[in-house]
Amino acid sequence: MVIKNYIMKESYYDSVLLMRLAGEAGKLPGVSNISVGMGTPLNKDTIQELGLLLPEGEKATPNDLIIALSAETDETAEKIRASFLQMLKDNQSPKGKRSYPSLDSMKTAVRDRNLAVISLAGQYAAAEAEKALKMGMNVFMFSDNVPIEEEVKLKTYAREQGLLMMGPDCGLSFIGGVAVGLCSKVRRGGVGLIGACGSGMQEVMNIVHLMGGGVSQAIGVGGRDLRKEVGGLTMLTALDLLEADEETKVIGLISKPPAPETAEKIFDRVRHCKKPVVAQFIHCDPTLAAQSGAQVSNSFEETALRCLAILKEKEYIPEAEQDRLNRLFPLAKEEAAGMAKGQKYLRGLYCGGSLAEETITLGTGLLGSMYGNVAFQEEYMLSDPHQSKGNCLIDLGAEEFTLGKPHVAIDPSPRLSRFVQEARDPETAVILMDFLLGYALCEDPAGMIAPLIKEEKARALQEGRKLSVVASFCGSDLDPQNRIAQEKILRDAGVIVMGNNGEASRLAALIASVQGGKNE
Amino acid sequence: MKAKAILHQPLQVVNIGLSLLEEALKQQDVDTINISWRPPRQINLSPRILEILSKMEPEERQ
Repeated sequence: MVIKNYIMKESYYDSVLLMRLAGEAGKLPGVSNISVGMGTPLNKDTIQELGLLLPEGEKATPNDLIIALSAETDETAEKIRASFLQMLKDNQSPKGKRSYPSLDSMKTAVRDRNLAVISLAGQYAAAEAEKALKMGMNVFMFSDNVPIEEEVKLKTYAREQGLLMMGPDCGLSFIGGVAVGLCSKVRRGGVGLIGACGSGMQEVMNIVHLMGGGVSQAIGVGGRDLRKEVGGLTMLTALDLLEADEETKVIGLISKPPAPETAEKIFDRVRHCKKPVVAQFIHCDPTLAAQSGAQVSNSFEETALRCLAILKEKEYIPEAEQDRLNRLFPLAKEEAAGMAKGQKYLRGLYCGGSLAEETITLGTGLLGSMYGNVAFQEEYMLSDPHQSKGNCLIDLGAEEFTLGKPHVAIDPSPRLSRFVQEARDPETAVILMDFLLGYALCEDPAGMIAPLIKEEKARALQEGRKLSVVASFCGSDLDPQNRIAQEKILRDAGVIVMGNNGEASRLAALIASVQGGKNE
Repeated sequence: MKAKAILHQPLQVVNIGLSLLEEALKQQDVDTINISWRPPRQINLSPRILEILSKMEPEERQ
């Protein structure tokens, strides 16, 4: 076995392209391992951790491309290098595309621009965002790992200037009918959303769409916007915008657990809002929201349904949790019939972080606290997230699974291998998965996993087990993947597809519960 | 408020970073231009030269 580092001086490529092509190159015959990236300290650390960094790679600069690989022979390594370079050439941007070397160099071209979409590595993103804001552009910042003090500076400036600073770490927004980032496309309508949790906001958008409603705007603010230091600066600007927006009739606010002082600030603004507001602030004192006049919601589905009820001037009557479980119980019992005695546990393999958290909340009632890499209690955090235990939920979009790789919603390969691992565990009763659809996401997530599901279900039967698979889609029929077509692919593979993540989670938890799979 | 403009006027985007996000916008017929971004070079210039450069228009710096 030989290890090689090939350095391409002054050759800059974007990280997702490199990670995708490295994945393809990794399948070539004779390659044992490959990691490709620009020579940034972070990339060098990743290559080092894989045991592939040589002194020449160590010397590379952030402007140099490193192809680090281990292969059977020198000759194979050379062939892989050549194949990788050919792939890069084949994937280069088409000629004639309008492109500028820097934001500074396009001052004249920028006059008509109203949005900068920034997805550079965190250490560079803030400087470009500052330039864009100073040129009068709104900013959508996909990048994460931006220092929080930079975020505060950018958001303060943007608010003073009446500009939107979406992010850092903003996965998606739906602006004027356009899906920005890793976002789903839905019908336009009267529901305006502001979200500090990407997949959660997308779930609300899609439930609104599925129920016949539509979304005026969905403004992502970034996962840290409601922290104490940031003080909800972008959420406040977005509230001003949606309050003044004629198309928006009701406003839905969705956030991960906010800092109490920031929540107070937001609800103080809500109190003076001229439009009805539905607030779903996870783990936040509901009296704060209620005192502001907002309707309080406890789930993504409830947020969507409350917004739609307000639009139709109807009262929202929530279905009691026990009634929901009673309604799903016969299906759970039917699905559990024929399972082996040792099959007890729910295994969740998730792409969306907020959806994963919703599943933990809903599953805990039936199954006890769930293990995983996003567990709410420290003692349920897995020491090795690559090995499940009991009822367990793995967020495959978390850092430990995405370091040096594209997000699992873009390239689902890590979930495919983990699915097989869980399917072959004799303790697994049911595997629960979310499927994110939308622009810039995997073109056919259902089609990629369906053959494996069929294979593993057949294998389980041969071994005297019955493998249950439950799924939900966070996407619409307007997405490039088409939710209806994707659902059919999974149903044809024997998967129970539910209308939303909450329902899928309840059903999967009930199946494990029927099998007696309660965590201690 | 300048942000109001993007809610109802066609988006006109500058993409800085992943081509994946640029392609997604183009798929939706959004007018998008791309910055062929590269990490800034680490050059040690004197504060005086940096001050002069900061006052110049980008075209003059070439």
